Amino acid sequence: MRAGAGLWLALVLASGLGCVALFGSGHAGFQTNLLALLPAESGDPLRQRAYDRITAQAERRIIALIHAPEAAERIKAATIFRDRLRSQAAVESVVLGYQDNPDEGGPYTQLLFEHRFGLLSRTDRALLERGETEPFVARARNSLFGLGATRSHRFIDDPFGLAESYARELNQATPASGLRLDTQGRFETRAQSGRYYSVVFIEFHDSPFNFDAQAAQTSALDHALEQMRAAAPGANAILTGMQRHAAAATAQARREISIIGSGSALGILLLMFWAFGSLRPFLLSGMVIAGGCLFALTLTVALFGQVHVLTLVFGASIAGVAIDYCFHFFARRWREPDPARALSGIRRAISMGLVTSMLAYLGMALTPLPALQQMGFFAAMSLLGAWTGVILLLPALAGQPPRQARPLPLARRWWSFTGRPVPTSAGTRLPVLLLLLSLPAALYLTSPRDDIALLNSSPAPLLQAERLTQRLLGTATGGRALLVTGDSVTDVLQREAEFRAASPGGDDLQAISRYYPAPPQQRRNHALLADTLYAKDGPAATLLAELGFPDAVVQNHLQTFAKAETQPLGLEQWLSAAQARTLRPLWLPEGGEFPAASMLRLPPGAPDAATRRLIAADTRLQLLDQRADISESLAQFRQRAAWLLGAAYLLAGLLLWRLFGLGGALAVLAAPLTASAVTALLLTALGAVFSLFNLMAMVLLLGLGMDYGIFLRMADEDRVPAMAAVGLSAATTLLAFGLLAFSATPALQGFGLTLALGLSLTFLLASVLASGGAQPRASSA
Amino acid sequence: MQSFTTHGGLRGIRGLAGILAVCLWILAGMDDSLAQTATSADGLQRGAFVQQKYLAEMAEPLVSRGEFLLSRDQGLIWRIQAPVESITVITREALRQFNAGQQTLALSAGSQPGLNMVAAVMLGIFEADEALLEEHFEIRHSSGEDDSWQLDLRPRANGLKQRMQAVQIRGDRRVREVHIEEPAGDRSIIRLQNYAETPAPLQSEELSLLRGGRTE
Repeated sequence: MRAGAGLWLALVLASGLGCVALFGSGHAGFQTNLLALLPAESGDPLRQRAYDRITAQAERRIIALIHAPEAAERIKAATIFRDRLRSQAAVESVVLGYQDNPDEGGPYTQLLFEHRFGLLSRTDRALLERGETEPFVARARNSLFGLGATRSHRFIDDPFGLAESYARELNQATPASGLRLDTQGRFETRAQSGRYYSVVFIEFHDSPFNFDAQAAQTSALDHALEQMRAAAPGANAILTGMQRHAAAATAQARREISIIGSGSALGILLLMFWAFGSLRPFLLSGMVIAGGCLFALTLTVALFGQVHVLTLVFGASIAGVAIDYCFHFFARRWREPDPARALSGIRRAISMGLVTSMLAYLGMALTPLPALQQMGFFAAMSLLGAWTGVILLLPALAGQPPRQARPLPLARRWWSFTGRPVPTSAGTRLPVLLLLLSLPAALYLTSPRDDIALLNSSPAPLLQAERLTQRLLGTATGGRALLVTGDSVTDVLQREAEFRAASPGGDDLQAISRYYPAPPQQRRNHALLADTLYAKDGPAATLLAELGFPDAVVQNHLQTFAKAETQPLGLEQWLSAAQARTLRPLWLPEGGEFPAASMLRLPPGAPDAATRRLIAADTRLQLLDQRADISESLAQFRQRAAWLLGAAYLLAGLLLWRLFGLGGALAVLAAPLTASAVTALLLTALGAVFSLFNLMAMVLLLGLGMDYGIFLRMADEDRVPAMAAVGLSAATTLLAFGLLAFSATPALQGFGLTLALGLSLTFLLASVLASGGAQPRASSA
Repeated sequence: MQSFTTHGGLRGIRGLAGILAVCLWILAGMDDSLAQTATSADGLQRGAFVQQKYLAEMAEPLVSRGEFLLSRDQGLIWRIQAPVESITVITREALRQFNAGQQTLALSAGSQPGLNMVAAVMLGIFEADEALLEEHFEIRHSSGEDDSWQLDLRPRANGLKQRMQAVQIRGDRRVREVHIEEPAGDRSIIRLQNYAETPAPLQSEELSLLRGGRTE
């Protein structure tokens, strides 16, 4: 007996050491990004690559809108906010205006200037295509005789100001269409109400899904806001960005864990103390389950490397099923005070419960969905670990037999209520009838929802702030863009340009092709200049001579123009220019399996019908809608999980058939199955959402329901202690997970509500079915 | 040094114009040590200019002449009369050019990052508004004989450095001369002269130009 406890301790220590070693070596880690749960194989890798690009950029960024009644106070507030943030280590950049851009290079960079004869602005090209050269001559004269015409190059190098005209157009590629500049070059935006907001763009070094980084980011923002309010009491700031959602989720989880978590722990403690009259069962059960979880964690980490936190949560919930084993042990001791004999009395039942549950959950691990694989594997292993704990640890440390048996009278009354008054035949027929009615109805009536909003429980003010920011700045979120692929840079940009020309409002879309002429176009631009401004004895030659430039200077300039023909500016190089900064994320270079591709930022809202038709008509155009794609993945996930749940029932059914015969197997499974079906119907009737997370609760119901059925069926002539154990198990599970129904996170709430309703029904049905059922064949087998 | 503080003070009480401004102006004028740029009570100045543009490739500067109108609140109208006819209007919101009655350039400060700076700088230079210029330049101020003074400006921001390497403003009661050196070596000298002692109020065409309208 002592040896058993020693063995268990050694096992737990080994697991702990293994776990520490795995995490210490850096090969293992926790995943916290909810999106990482979803199957990556849903789209093609190119789409994924585009999303990764969008996400990597978006998740580290925060946009702050700062408002105050007086303009001076608003600007002061924005400046202080920027300066305070700038000194924070978590912050990579803070930009309140053009001067703040780290790579701001003035009116145009040398690179763009060198290619001025190929990079014509659209305005200039249109003028020249119409043969209008007079505006260019006027422009040249203005820049010599007019005011404010100062430039970084000599007049003679670009007399018609082609480079400046191009740079001006490129400057319109601002990060957001609703953004304007005040007279000092600071970003601002104006609401329809006439209210002005200063706009600050913040970029962090790390993703907010890294918990440490998130905490540092939150404190940096809080600190800056505090300083801002101290200096400008009338100012307020509206912050939006992935970091805000992540921080809100963290705060909420923390709050709920402390309230719901401590509530349920206290409840379970009180319940067990009431039932057994001592703290020992509570502590021992806790040790058994914790040991099981640690065992499972080590194996899961060793096998998968990265473990998702949500996997852990669901997996650990299922491990909670193992508390049943403990209850059976303690309840048995009311009759068999000797620990060893108590254990041998229940070993068979709990082993059978273990095998059926493990089989069911390992079945889930065979799916191609990484999250379900992890979850199934973790659940099976934690049950195995907990079972080992019950076998090895409990008899050794069980101590004095429990003095009190308060639950027994209750269990006896419940038993006589559910068992006796119902005629034996009706005892099975009623639930079977219920099953036959409710299951098809549930399958037919339940309309699942797979919206990503289920993963998102952001507080309303944050969502409101997001809408305001989107409306004011005209920025689209949710990763909606158009993906354009092609054989080459030119091909992609050609497709882009054609799309923009054909799509309503397409000309205004932020796209590389709007600003960058592909090499063939650059050559055409040069040829156009050669036919017009730089024609032989054309405006360039005549104007420069007329202004009094020496002939050698004029000839030199004309030669510079002629030589420029052969060297177009490549896209990668163009993107490296400071002015192209906001367009850089839109290009996905060719490489490996990937074709060249670009993204076009689409305006907020769903694309119109004409745009949809354009996209549908060309296979090289794809609509990227991250939100829809994630919802689609969730739907796939849910469908597969539903099939797997069905398969788990089937596997368990086969095993139970072997143990109890067909009738017994049906009677055991009918409880969780009927309870699940009725719960689905109740949820539908209540108007609640049915999603993946409700389904996950049903996976848990299967394990619990089977255990109840098996234990009640395998108990010998006096079933009251087994009934008491099952009742206690149901009550603790309700306390542990049913309380999640009060969670503000839709996913957890759905899980909790389903579990609360389903478990109550499972308990009721299992009681009724066990009483009506035949004595287990297994007792003689 | 004090001179511009007084000037700034005048700016600050714009709302009280009238008597108070006139009184201050008279007071400031009485003190010889204060070099006060003189404007009418409504902040209007009219005068003529001659600009010489020196290019390295040419022996002789290119010269242009014309008239200007500077309204403290509304902006600058720069009317070139020779050798071409063109009008440049600079306000805090926009820069526009007209040739032969046709608008040939219209830039809004709301969308052109360089422009807001150039517009603010140009207005600041012709107003010799030290407070405004401080935002964009390192300033060295030196006082000369009588009430003359000189400001040497070096741009702070990279964007501005690419347009102006150095600016020099000389004046007394008025701004008299502005030198602008461009980074590539071209430079301009602008002389402001023939200030009207009692400038005529804004004409309707001028008002329209300053408010974003077209020339007549």
